[in-house]
Amino acid sequence: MDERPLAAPTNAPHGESIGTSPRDDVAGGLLWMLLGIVILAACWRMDRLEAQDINPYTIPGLVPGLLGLGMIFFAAWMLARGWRNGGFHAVPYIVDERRVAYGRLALALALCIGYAVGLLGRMPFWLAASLFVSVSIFALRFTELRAKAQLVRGAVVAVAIGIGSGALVTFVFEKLFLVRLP
Amino acid sequence: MQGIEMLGKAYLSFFNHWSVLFALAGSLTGILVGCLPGLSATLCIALLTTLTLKLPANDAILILISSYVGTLYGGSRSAILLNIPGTAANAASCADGHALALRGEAGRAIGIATSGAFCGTLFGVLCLAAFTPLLAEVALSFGAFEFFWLALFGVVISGSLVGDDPLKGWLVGLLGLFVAQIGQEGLYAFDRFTFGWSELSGGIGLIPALIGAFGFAEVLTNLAERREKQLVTLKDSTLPRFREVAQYWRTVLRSGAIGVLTGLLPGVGEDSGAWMSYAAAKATSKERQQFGKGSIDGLMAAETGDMSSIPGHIIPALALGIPGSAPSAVLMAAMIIHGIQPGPMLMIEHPQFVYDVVAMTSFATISILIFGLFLVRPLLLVLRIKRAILMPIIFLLASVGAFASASRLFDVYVMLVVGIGAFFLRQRGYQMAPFVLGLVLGHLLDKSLRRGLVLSDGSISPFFTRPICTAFALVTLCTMLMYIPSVNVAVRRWMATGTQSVRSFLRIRDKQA
Repeated sequence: MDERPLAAPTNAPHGESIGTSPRDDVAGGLLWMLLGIVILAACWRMDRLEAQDINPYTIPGLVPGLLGLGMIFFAAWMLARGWRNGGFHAVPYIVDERRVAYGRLALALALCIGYAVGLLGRMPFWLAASLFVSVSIFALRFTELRAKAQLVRGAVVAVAIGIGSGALVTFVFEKLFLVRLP
Repeated sequence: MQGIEMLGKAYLSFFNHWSVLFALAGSLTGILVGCLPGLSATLCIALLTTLTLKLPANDAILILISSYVGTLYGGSRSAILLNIPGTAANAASCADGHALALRGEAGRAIGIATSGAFCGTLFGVLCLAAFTPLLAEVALSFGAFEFFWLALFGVVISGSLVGDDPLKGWLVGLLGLFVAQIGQEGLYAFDRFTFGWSELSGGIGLIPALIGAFGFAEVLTNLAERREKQLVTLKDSTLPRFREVAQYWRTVLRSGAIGVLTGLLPGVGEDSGAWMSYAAAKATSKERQQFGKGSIDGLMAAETGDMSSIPGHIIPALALGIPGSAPSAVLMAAMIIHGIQPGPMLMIEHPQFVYDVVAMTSFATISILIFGLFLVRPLLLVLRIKRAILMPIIFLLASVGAFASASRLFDVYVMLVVGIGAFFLRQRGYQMAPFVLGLVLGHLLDKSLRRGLVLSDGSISPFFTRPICTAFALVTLCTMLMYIPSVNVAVRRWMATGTQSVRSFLRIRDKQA
């Protein structure tokens, strides 16, 4: 469907999928297996509702437990594939740094989490939205604006877009389509 | 006869200014979202679902279907002009579309995309009208055993066909099925994996999870990428080329059929329809050396295949309650929100609705043709907006969309967690389609397995001996076995030997004759 992986391994063997390396398989297999074991253990300890005298084939933990088992099976398959291809000794693939801007990613994550956890629901929506959009646009364009010596102009544009979008989203959702906003 | 009557009634009911306005507005929104690389049909429909919560069901679904069709159509613009597909479904259009644009024929490429999209969707609409009632009738004979296999089959097929690594697809599908188990289960209202957190009792909402997986994850992906592509300027006419449709009518028909058939497969997505149509056109075309260098045949096949898969995806969503793609999963969720339960009972409880959907898809098809005729150049301005400006606004809309589905801040946090998880999983080559399908089908799998076991008094034999179950079980198991290299090689060798034997037999018989 609609997804494109971000960072392609540059030395991946021909014909293998992005992110599929023996080492990835080993790491992924171990993580999936751990998750599967945790799910299985949680299901085993889950209440079987014996006090309610339910049919034993309908205990709540049955399906999640089977899913946990399935996860362990496929994780073992992945682990075996990685091990067979030398994943315990292989050199990790070099991620193409030119395609990934980790600084921008960290900044985007901080801005989005800060807005969703820190601002949303703690002040009027239009204000939270305007603040988030203004600060985000300015922060994400900061390097470009500084290089062009347009920091003040950039800040004004960011604030204008922020206030405009905050007001427009509030109007369209709350007033026009009667949708409740945080 | 009754079906035709209902279809006529459906078309007549939408011939009013509000419906036309909603169809145009939905398509326009879809085209704008589709034009922007990275923003998907799933995100567009999810956001519009929350925006249209208070509208009557038919108006809301009309807007959503129009935006679905519009997004996939709009995605061809950036594929042609930027060489970046607007949605993954348009990836097959990049090679030939962009090659034509580089030759100074960008307008022609957009015209071909418009005509291919129009014909493809129209072909799909015909199939939607013809096959949905038939499939729903077959599905009426399904019981708990069959639905269990249908859910499992959907996740396995989706995991196998989406992406390059089926193992990753199956694992992500299992994760989706597991996440669907969180919250109160359906038989005894017992809280599973809620850890005493009352907000988790209601389960993980589909819309917040989808907005996270396809919205927030895409915002992060866009912001973290360094690439900035140059837009190719339009010089020639962008009018649809129906003369070329007539010239390549075989491609249009074949791609339409392939698109619809791939659409029927659960969770496979529109991109498979486009790629399979493209591959089929390349295998049969007289101009195959032109493929990838600006082939009209190739572009027509890709666009027709991806657009005809939209009605193809809606068919199983309506008739079986099994979505064919992530956008159709959101569409299904929107139908449920508006009080229409898709599935085998739909033709009994809301028979008119199926024909209404046919009429809605037809209106959406006409809308994209109108925008293709008159508004190509102005709509391209959206491609000039900088990512740093657009993405915060998209995230703002995503947060509103996640919140508005149930008016809970908790859903915004769900969106954040799923989005961050999806971003990192995608980095490692995991696709989100099987996860989404697992999330949608998790409840069905759970209820069907437990009910089936009660009906059979604990025996698993009906899960394998009932005819439809046997077929589903065989296909599911064979799909998985084919992934084992030694089995795959053995099957190929066996098939090659079989083909050779049949050929030699025919040759001997011909000689004797």
